[in-house]
Amino acid sequence: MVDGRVRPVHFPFSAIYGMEDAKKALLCLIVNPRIKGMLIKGASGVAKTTLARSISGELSGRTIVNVPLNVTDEQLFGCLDIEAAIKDGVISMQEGLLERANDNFLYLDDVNLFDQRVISEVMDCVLTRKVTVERENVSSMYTCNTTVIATMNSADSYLNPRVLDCFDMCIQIPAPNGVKDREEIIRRNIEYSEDPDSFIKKYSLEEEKVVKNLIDARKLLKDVTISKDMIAVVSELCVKTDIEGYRGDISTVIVSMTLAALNGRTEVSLEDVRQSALFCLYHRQNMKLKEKSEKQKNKEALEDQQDYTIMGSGQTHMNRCIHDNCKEDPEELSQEATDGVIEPDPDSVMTGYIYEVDDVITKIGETFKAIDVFESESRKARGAANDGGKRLFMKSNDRSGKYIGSRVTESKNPDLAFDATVRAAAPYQRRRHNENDDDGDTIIIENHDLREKIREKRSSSTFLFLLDTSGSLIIRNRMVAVKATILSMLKNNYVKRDRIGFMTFNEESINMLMPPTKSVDTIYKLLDNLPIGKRTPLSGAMLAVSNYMTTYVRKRPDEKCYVILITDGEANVSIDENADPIEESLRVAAKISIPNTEWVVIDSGKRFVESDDALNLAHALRARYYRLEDLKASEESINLEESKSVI
Amino acid sequence: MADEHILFPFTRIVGQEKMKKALLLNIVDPGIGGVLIKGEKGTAKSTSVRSLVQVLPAVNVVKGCVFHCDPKHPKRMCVYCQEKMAKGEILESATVPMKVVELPLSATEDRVSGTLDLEHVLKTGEKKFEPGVLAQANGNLLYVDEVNLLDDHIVDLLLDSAAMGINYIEREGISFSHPAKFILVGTMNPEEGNLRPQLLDRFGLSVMVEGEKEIDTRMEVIRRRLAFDADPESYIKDCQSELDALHDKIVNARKNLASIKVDESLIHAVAVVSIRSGMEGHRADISMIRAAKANAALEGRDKVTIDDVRDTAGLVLAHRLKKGPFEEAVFKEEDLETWLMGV
Repeated sequence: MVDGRVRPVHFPFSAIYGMEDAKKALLCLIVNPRIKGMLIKGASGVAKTTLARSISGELSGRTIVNVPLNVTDEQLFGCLDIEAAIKDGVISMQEGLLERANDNFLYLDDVNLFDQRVISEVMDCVLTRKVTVERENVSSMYTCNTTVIATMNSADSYLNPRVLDCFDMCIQIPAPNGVKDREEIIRRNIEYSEDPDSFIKKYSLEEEKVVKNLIDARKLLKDVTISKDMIAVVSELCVKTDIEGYRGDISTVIVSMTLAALNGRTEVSLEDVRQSALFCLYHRQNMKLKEKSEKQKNKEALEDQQDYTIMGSGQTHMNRCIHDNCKEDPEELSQEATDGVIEPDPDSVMTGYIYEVDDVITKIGETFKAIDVFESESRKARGAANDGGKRLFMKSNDRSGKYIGSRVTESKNPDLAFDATVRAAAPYQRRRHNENDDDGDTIIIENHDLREKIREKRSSSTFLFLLDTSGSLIIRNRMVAVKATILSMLKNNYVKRDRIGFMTFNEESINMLMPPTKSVDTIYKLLDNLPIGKRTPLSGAMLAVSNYMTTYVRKRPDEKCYVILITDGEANVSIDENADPIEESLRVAAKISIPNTEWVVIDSGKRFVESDDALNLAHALRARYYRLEDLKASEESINLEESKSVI
Repeated sequence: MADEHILFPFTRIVGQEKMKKALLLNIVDPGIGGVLIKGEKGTAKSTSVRSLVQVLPAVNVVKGCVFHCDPKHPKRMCVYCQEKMAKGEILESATVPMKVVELPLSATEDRVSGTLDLEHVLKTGEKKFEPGVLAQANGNLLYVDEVNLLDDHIVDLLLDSAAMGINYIEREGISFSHPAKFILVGTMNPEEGNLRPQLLDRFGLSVMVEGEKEIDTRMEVIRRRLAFDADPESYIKDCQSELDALHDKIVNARKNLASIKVDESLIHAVAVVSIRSGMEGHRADISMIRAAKANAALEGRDKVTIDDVRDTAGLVLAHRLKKGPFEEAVFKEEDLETWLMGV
């Protein structure tokens, strides 16, 4: 098979307008192979990818090895070479992406969308500069001297802090706001798209200049020294900005030395340190705050606004530190610091996003620092430190989902992993052909060679809200609180694109207002126009849900379902006219059992009303129980373990 | 039945002018970046996209190339064509009609991106790449019905290709890449959920279609449909001249597109609109310019005016407006006027 790789034409580096910091950081990356990774963050469409790709080829003398999102482990790290095994009977390794990336760049677009485990392993190999492969008859080790360039959208934001720390530098690309800037970018883009060849020619002189600077810097780098004073500055900076570990210190020193070389000096200046601190410490400092705030979220609530201020003040704090250490021209430097990459980035950590959501919630009712019941549950299950981000994966048992690996077949009718099967059979082909005494034109596959695919797909959940819209809620003026609870709970579901359904009940009707869908917008509209009734047919409503969900679950065996019943438990309409409504509701509740479905009861009754109806109901349903009050911001001390949850 | 292959003619679709325009603009200039069509069921979304095939222009491709490489752009060719060129072979070109390639919701990863050719490995022990839907889509229009219901891992494949115009395959023992530049057309019913933001941003244009509210127009829809169903062949024959006219219009527009110049005042206007409407990246700016240009080309003019921007900016901006998760960002024509004020 031919080397099946297309090499794309790319936009010239020097023709990329603005983004001085990002460009400088990229130059550092090219000059100094000790810098192992750079993360480029920015809004979508700010030319992150264009920038990263522009350094391949003549500019750096290296190529960019692209890692596609659906890469499999074998391809990434290397696997048995089928052709060699079959034809020559040789066990050898087929080059993996990491091997190809040796002395080149490894490029990951939308890095946060990758499986975090994969990223973690890749970063590990890159930092240790070697890859060890132990799989399918192959045992091999090779060096991998590469530099990782990754991009991510700042709106997506979440990247495992451990992975984040592996990147020496992280650059935020600000969206350009000046009309003149935008015009120039449009102009260059039109010019490029009309005639790429002459556009590239037009910038060839500029490109040559960059290349010359790079060559000089590379030569000079050997002689660059950093004084003890400057190292002290770096250490102090790291201490003041609360950087965990020493990666930050080391990166800052290495990058500052590279910057000195790029500027044609052999001595690191304070300005080099300042700039390099911006490149190297920003994401690490954030990271700590991020972790903190994540933990807070787990424990207490989504403290959106506070998050925002933590980040903000952290940033000013850092500005000040850098400023303190720059005695040369504080005015100018601090000016630059606020202009450049260092501006607080409201989009990262989703704070900006949540912040926006916040506005919406406020519009409807008082804002909660609501416990996100489900999110924190799933976090706990996975361990808070090892948060895989917003994407939850589960092994899939049908044939849908992404192929992530293979195993010896267990089923009679396997979802055959063809490549793995052939690899398993490959080493024995010579022998088998000899035994069969045939000409060896085909592959002989035996039963025990068969491998089946392990597939993985995103797990999803369904949340069905069952809301009591009887008069008792209105009288107590609880509707606003209820709406706000629902919406704040949905914040997370929306991100994860789970299904949400909405059902209400009062004496008029038990109403499936919205069968479970992925559209959250609809529930927003529904909540604003809720039908309100007088009485509470609790048992009827629960039965209706049970009927609906049983069929629903059967159709989606992989789905985790939650029914969130919001009521005060004061049933006053029964199915059997002679039965006591409350007693009947408890009886019905005890009998209900829907597979894969968990009930949650949120008690909308006021605390001072001494009624245990809802609590009893929760017991009968074997549901978790919360009081609406407890979910309110004013009593943020509530914590899941302490809540009155019933098994 | 032969009838099943006859599609309702594009030119006879009643109303839905915006959707039709968005589609045509993209055919004139595939660089605009595709269309996302949002709307309730039964609003002729799929019909329009599929029937585009009747008016699509013919394109030049390298004869026999599975990736339909464009002979004019040697640098963007697939490895096979490049190899042939390197050997000094002359690539024959052929003229084929542009196609509408459908990506079914149930498509599996290997069928979309391409995979290892089973037969070839078994027979020869050599690996060979078996092209998938993305290979077919190169140079054509890729249509994804109910794009919002597409599995995440399939969306990931589209993201990579849409970003770079190249499909990278690193799986099942195959390491391969091939050009995959296509006009991405997606339809969705917003009631069934939203699109992942990463994918949403890749669409150059979006339109919201609604059922016609006028009794007369609705009646006209029914009348035409009945006439078509009664005798599709003669119905198509009846409007063949319209279809041909539209086809010619597209072909001419594509030819003239390169010679249309965009002047400074327009670049300025677009930059201002982008800033005022809070666009983050530059995709919107570029799509606005390209859409305006294509609009002028389609109308047979050789100069782009501010009215072209006015006509098309809404298509570019609507799905890019910032909004909260529970909010619907609604684009209003008045907004565009305010953004355009004073430029």
